[in-house]
Amino acid sequence: MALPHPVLDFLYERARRGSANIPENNDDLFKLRILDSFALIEFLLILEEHCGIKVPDSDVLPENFQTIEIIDRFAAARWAHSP
Amino acid sequence: MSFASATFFLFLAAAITGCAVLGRQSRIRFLLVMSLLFYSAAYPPHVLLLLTSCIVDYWIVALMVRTKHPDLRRGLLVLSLAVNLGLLATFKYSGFFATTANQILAAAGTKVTVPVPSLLLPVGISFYTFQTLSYTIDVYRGLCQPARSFSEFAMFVSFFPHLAAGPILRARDFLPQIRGHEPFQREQTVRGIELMLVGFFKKCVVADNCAPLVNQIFSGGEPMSGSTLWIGCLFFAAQIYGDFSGYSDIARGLGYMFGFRIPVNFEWPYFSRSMLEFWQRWHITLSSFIRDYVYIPLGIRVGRLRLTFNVLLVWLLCGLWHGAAWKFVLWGLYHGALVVATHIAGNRIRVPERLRLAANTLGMGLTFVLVLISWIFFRSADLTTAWTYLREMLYLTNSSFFGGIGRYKVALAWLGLAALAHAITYVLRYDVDELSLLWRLPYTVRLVAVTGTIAVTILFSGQATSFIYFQF
Amino acid sequence: MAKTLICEILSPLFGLFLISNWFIGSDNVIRFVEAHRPDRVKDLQIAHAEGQLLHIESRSRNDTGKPRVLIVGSSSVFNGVDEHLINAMLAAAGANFEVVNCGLTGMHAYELPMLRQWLLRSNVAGIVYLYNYYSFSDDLYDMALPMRWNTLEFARLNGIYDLRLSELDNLAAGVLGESLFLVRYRQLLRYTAIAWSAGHLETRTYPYDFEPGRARPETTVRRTKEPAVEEPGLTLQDEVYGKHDALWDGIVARWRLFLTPREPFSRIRPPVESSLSRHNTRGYRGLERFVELTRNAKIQFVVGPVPEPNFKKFDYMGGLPVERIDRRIQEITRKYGIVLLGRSEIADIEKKDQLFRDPIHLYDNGRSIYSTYLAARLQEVLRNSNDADTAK
Repeated sequence: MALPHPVLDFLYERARRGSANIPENNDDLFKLRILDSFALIEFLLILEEHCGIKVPDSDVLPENFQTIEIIDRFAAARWAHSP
Repeated sequence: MSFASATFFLFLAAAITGCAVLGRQSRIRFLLVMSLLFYSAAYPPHVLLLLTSCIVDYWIVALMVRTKHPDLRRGLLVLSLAVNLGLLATFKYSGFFATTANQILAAAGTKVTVPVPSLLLPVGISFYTFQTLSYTIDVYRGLCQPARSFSEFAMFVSFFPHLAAGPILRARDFLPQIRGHEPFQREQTVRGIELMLVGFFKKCVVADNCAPLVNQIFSGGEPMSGSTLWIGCLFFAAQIYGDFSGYSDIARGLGYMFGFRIPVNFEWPYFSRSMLEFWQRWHITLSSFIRDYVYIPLGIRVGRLRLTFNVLLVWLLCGLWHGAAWKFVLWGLYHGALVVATHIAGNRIRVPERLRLAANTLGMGLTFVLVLISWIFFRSADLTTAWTYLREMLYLTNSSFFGGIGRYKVALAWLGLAALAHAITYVLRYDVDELSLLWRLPYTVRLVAVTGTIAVTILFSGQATSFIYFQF
Repeated sequence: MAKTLICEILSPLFGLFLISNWFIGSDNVIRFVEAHRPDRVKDLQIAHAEGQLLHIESRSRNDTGKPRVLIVGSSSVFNGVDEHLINAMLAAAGANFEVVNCGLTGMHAYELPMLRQWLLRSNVAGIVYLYNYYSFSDDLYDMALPMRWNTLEFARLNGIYDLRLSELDNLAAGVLGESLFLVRYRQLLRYTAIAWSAGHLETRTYPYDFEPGRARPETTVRRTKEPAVEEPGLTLQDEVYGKHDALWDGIVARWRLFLTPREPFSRIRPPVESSLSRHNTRGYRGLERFVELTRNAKIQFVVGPVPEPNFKKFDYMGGLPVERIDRRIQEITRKYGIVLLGRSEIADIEKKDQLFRDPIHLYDNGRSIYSTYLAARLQEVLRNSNDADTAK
């Protein structure tokens, strides 16, 4: 599943505002300061809305949002398991 | 045992010799023994406390993996939290709580008093407690495989480079390294030596030379002008950064030498453009630990008011982690309030692309000033003193504001030089994990550079002071 | 792995050894640093103490051809012995040796064997050790530990009875300082480098802590009634030595000593009390060991007290039976057949307050009088010794 554009746009915009490079698929989003504790909240809302998934609280772990590739796999797995 | 001590170099020589001659399994046990010896140099009985924490968590996790019953697993997790946080609370906070209770009781007019215990604070207890907790929590969450043996787990907790003052390691990152580590690989060793040289320079030359000036300004012996106090803050900012990041660099360098990757803990924090960014660059392993194990579990999908409360609570705890005193609580809340303010401002203010450089520069300057102010709370003996200093520092129209700063001209010039060098490294920085300038040099040049740097560091080291973060 | 250890770890350490000992520790650098060493009043106590040791090291490297007599002791010796005056008097009397003042601030007797590499040289004919009442303490002098050091002598002098956890850093610094000139004189070299780069380096113009010719501080003490005799209390070392035959109590006593930080040497009364505590304190053991070393090196060894003003007993030394220390030294000198310069010989100096600038140090006039006395005594002692050797 490829992440929808609004989800990626959020990350790219965060990168631009933080003067970071546009992240590659394997770049650590927390290390590049594209995602942080606050941004994660917003990001979750956008991800759920545009991927049609629900992320349970127990899955809100940085490990699941470390890189674009991991987010992609995570979202795909959630979507596959959704009713 | 401080890294910047002769004892440590003799210890390191023994550790290197032992690791060089032993096989992998024996090497782990040898490093464990050496790490416990390292720890015992502060106060030998505290080794028992460290081992108790290790034994309790090792066996709790061993039971946890054997049971599928969720209530039992949760109960074991709670037991681990209770034991570890209980030990931390007893040794670090019991005196503070008792003193505060007595103040409250006195204010209420009663003659009842609570006995104030006076326990010697074990070195690094705040660090290793967090590490053992991260192990238990990660195994509970299924994010980490349990350690294969007690010696492996104890080695993770007590590995001497990071034991006393971090970086805080995660079991899921470190335990797999234990199984496959190979010490003294050439490139890794060179990287390690480079980090250690940088670390010792920061600690011994920068931090230890700032210390006497900082002590003199904040000694409370004579009243200092506002500008002198600002200068004191500048030097303290250099001291605490040199001290703490230097220690982290040395720890990482030692880790590399012995075949381990220890995470980065500092990324040029004084160049942060906001307080939020500051805490993503300063003591990174602590902020990520608190984010993952305290902030996120408190719930992030909550209303704005609740979220703000959570942030302030987390920062209060962070302040308290740094020290059992009200000044640290206030320091934590100060940072928490600024982080919230940064977030709100970031959402409301959109800076046009053409003004981004100016905005970033302004942000850097403002953040640096706000951080300097926060160091007043950190450095002062108590809250009352901190307020006194702050009043002087902010009373800009005081006629004696600039009194007495002439005598710091030379010291400020040296500090400026150090800051310039630091700024150059910031501009030229690589991905910090891949810092390896020495490896790129021809061997002879590298040899001369290493030898020369060691000689210069020895020569220009200040009077050795203990690492500031040892008290945590 | 072997290549990494050799190329990346051992080679830089070897390089450091070369830089430290061959370049920085060269005669030219030593001469320069020695000529500009800081005085005590600059609050650079460690650099100042290192400078004193560097002076001794520098003198030991420069052989003038004449046999030497070294006068060793604390800052009482450093400030109380005028070697130029003594040498002038000896030259006038036709004596064929020169005296060198080897005083070191705070020097304790246990340091004597630790200084062997500088004291027991082939051109040394005699060593005179002038002791203070505090010299025979069990405790180590923390400021001296990293520089005035010899690992083997320390190991020989000290068993597991005496070690403290709080001293480990200094002991380790001593081990490194013994091998590396850069470590041994670190503070002094640092001071020199910084002062030179800032253009503040000053040539040393007088050999003492206190500039000659300055007004004497007021030292006259009102004599109150004689203080009551006060027996010093038991120290932790006394407990250890007292219980070494008892297995469990001995272990507990040693463990307690190991964990107890030692107070820094900031008050002189505690080491005097320690010097009174037992016959076999570290200080007495150090003195006896040094007697052996001088015998083996065929160097004449003379011991005597350095003048300490009588008014001390109305001050910080009130009540302590310090004459026991003198008696202990008499025992040692009798045991080994070495010359003792008795305290009675300097009684006249000790009772005159105006000859002292403080409870430890002689003033300019006191220094002249004492040095004149020493010159006369050294001529006698060393002449008698030469005659005895000739007669054999």
